[in-house]
Amino acid sequence: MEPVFKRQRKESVVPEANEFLIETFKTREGYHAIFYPFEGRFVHEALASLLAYRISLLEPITFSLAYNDYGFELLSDKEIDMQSVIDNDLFTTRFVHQDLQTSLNATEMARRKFRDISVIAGMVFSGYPGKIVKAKHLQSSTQLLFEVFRDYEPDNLLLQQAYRETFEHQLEEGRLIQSLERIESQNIVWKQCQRPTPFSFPIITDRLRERLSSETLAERIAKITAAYMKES
Amino acid sequence: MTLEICIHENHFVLHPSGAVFWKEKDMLLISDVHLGKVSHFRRHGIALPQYAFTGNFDRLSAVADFFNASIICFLGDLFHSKLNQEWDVFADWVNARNENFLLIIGNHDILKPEKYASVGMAIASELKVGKFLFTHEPEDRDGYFTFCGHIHPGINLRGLGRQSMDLPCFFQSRNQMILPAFGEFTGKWIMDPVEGDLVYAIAGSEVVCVTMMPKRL
Repeated sequence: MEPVFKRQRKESVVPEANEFLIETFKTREGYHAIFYPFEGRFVHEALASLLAYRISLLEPITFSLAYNDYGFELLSDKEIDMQSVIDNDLFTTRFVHQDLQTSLNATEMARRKFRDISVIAGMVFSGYPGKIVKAKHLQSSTQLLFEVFRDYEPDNLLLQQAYRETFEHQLEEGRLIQSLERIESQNIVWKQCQRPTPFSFPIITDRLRERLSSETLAERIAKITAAYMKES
Repeated sequence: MTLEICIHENHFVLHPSGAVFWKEKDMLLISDVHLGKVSHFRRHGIALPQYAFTGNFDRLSAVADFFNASIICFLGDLFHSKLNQEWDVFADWVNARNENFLLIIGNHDILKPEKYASVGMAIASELKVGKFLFTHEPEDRDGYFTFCGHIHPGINLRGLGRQSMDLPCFFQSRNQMILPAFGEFTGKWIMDPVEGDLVYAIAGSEVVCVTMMPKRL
C-alpha cells in the first residue's frame, strides 16, 4: 500500500482521524469534488444526495453522484464554490430529515427501488427460467409504470413503498446524523489538486450514478448534444 | 413552444405533444396514441391507475384546439388492442369535434373496419399527397418524403459532467420524418442517428432542435 499513500501524499494528503478531506480537481469529464467521510456506502449515498441538494439551493447546478465505502463524488459541468459550501455550514444536522426527503424526490433512487417492488407485486412478469413469456402483450418497463403512478396515482401504496423503503432501508438516517455530527467536530481539509488522486480513482470511475439538478430542462438541454455516426 | 420547419417548400409545425401540423393542407398528424392500453393492462390483472387514460384525451383536445385543423390524420396504432371502454370515450370525443378523421392502419389497429366507420373515421393503409407519403411503419419510397410513426423515437443527449438524458423526439432523415408516440404509457426507442439526420427533441413544453456531434469512437 505504501506506493499508493506516497502518491496520495504527493497530490493531496492522507487524512488524520480528526480531519475531513475534500479534494477538488478538473478532468475532461468536468469538475470533480470528492469528500471522504469513510462511513460506508449507504451513508455516503445519503450524504451525497443531501449535500448535492443543499448546494443546488445556492445556485442552479446539475450533479452526477458516485460513492463507494471511502467517500463520495459530486461531479458537475461547472465549478462548485467550495468556500461557500464550507462557509454556509452545509454539513449541519439541522433540517436533515426534511432535506433528505426532498433530495430523495430529486434523485432517481426511489425509481430504482420501484423496480423490485413492481416485479414482486406482479406488475411486470419476466417469465420463468427457460420458459417463453406468453404475456408479451402485457410487457412494459417498470420505468413506465413508475411514471404512470407518479402522474396519475401518487398515493398508490406500491409507489409510496418505493419511497419508504429507500428512506428506511437504504439511507440510514440515524448513522447519517452521527456522521454529520462527527464531520462538524473535524477540521475540514480542502485540497485543490491538479489531477485525480489515488483515493479518488475508484469513485470517479464508477459508472452507476445518481443525478440531481436544480437547473431547468431548457438550461440543461442547451449544454448537451446527441452523437451521430459518420457515414464511411 | 412549437417549432416550424420546411420540407419540399411545405411548412410543418412541430408541437411538443408530438403532433405535426401541415400548414398548406390544414392537416394535423398524430401518431401512436395507443388508446386502450391502460384498460387492456387492467383487464389482464395489472392494476394501473384507472384514470391514467384520461391524460390522452386531455392532450388530444389541447392539441386539436390549438391548431383547429380541418382534418386530423392518425398515423397508426390509434387503438392499442381489443375493444374496451376507452373506445366509447374516444367515440364521444370524435363526435364532439368538427374535424374530419383519417386513420392510417398500424400493426396495433386490429378493430373491425365498421368500428371506425361508426364514428365517421376514414381508414387507409397509406396516404399520398403530392410528394408526401403517410404510412405507419417507416418506408423509403422513391420520389416521396414519408411521414410515419411506429418506432416511438427517442434521443439520448450527453454533456459535460456525465450528464445524460433521454427525450422523445421527431426524427428526420433524408426522405423521412418519424413522429414520436403521442400516447401516455407508451415508452420510447432510443435512435442511433447518422450524419445528416435532424433531431427535434421534446423538452417539456418546448420543441428543440438538438445539436449533433460526431460520435467519438
